[in-house]
Amino acid sequence: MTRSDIKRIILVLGILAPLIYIQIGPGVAPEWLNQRVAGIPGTVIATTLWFITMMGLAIQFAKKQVIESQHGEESES
Amino acid sequence: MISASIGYFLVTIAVTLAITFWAARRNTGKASYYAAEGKITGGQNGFAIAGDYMSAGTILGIVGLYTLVGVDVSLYFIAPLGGLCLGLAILVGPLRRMGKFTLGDVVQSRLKEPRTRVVLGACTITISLINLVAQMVGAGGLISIVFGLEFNLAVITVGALMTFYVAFGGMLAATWVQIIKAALLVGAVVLLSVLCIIKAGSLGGIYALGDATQTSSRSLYEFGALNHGLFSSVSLAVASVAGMMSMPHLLIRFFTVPDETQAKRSLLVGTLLIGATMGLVFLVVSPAALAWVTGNPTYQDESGAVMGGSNMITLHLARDLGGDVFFGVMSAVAFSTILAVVAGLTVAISSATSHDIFAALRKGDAMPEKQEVAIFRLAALVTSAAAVGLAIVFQHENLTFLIVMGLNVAASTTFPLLMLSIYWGGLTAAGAVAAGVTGLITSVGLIVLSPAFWVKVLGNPEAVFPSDYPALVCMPLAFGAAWLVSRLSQKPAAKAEMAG
Repeated sequence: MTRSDIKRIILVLGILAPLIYIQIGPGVAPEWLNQRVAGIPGTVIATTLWFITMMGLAIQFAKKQVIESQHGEESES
Repeated sequence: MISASIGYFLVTIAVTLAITFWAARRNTGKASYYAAEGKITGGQNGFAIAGDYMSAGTILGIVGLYTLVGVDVSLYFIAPLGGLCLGLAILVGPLRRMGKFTLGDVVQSRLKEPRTRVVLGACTITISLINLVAQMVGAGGLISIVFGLEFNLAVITVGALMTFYVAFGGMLAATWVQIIKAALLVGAVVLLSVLCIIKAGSLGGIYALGDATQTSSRSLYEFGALNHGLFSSVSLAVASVAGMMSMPHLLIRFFTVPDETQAKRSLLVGTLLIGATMGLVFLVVSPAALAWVTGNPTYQDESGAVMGGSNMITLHLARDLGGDVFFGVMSAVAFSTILAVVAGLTVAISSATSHDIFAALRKGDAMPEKQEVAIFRLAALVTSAAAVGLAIVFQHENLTFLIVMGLNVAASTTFPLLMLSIYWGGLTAAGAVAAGVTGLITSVGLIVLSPAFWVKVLGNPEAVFPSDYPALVCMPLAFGAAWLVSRLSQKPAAKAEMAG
């Protein structure tokens, strides 16, 4: 496992940690999350942003991984 | 309505059976049955991964759970997405390089001892069987509500179909059923979301309508409704992340593509499809179900509960938006979803049985290929029978909960075994066996003692273990057992080396 792998693990867990914390029980999430924007609850917007961030990470990881393995296959051949 | 739905169901069954016949003619040996001969492309496999991931729990269970716990349901799909990210970063590459057909191959390639394959095979069977039961529960409920058929008869029908798909079509049939199902599911969720927004006038309009239906003092749009507490919340997240990284039926998909680059590309395509679909389910479909189905007398039985249970809310929403025709289409899509996932899970169980357990237990020469394929087919039949029986016992459980139960066992068994096999040079065969056995016994044991099983299923007044999510206890125990036993079993070898 390389240092960049460890950084990736920390990054993903770091993004998940606040989402886990605010769902522990009622009243843990900050009050401003319950406000609405264009009728959409702040909690829904926040969750969607978490979701988009996680998807963005997956795309980044995948791009790097595919490039790395293509280099690996080229050097093997 | 019933005749239209029957028509859609029959078309679904006819298409999937045609795929099975096509695959059966192409299958030539165990490489076909286990891994479609490694000829699936990255894009196709991406659709199949999305198909495997987005099970009945996605389209039926998550929406049902949303109407009970609101936005807290997000943890059930964002955490597994984190697991897919990490899987992409640290697991897929080594897995593809070390394995051939099953996860047992990965451990075997490193430790060279058949007993490690037997343990990993047993873990694969347990995890996949739990998931299979969840899918069967969804199928039973779905067929009951559409045809008015008895639950037991419905799950027996699904069991018979899945035996046929896997015993004759193997991984090739399962993969193409998954690809078609994933395309149908994504299309259906997009259409459902568009109809929801058109009916409400705007996205905000859906949430405003949802407000009006809520009778509790706490809004379902606020976090904390699950009220799990610190231990269960963290344990659920650990199970979701680590479990998703090590679900056998998803991981064996990476053996169906020709190389490592295609394996990684397939996970990217799969993650994007999963993300887009799950995003729409959370953002639009679930709140729409809260707005138009929950509390609507049309969809309630005499006791005031939702007809067919919370798992059927998505289908009621489809009827509300598009009448009987859309209800029939959504039912058929949900049914194809279930058929596809049960086929994938049955392949995982059957290949673990024939390739990991039976082949490893056989002393001396390798098992003849014909015999291994025969055991694979027999295993599919036995698996179906076991899944039907267990689905009848667990028919009242929420689908998402059952799936999370499988993630708990995966996080406590296959996750430590794979991570240690790939990344820890000090792991011995005895250590791997200790990790698998410890993880399997403690996770299954604590699930049995949990409130969801000990109280709800067995009817005891109080649970012995306070949480439904034991991964936070079992996973460290499995890692600890591997470390301790590996250290102890390394000693004689180390001594011999020193003496030499």
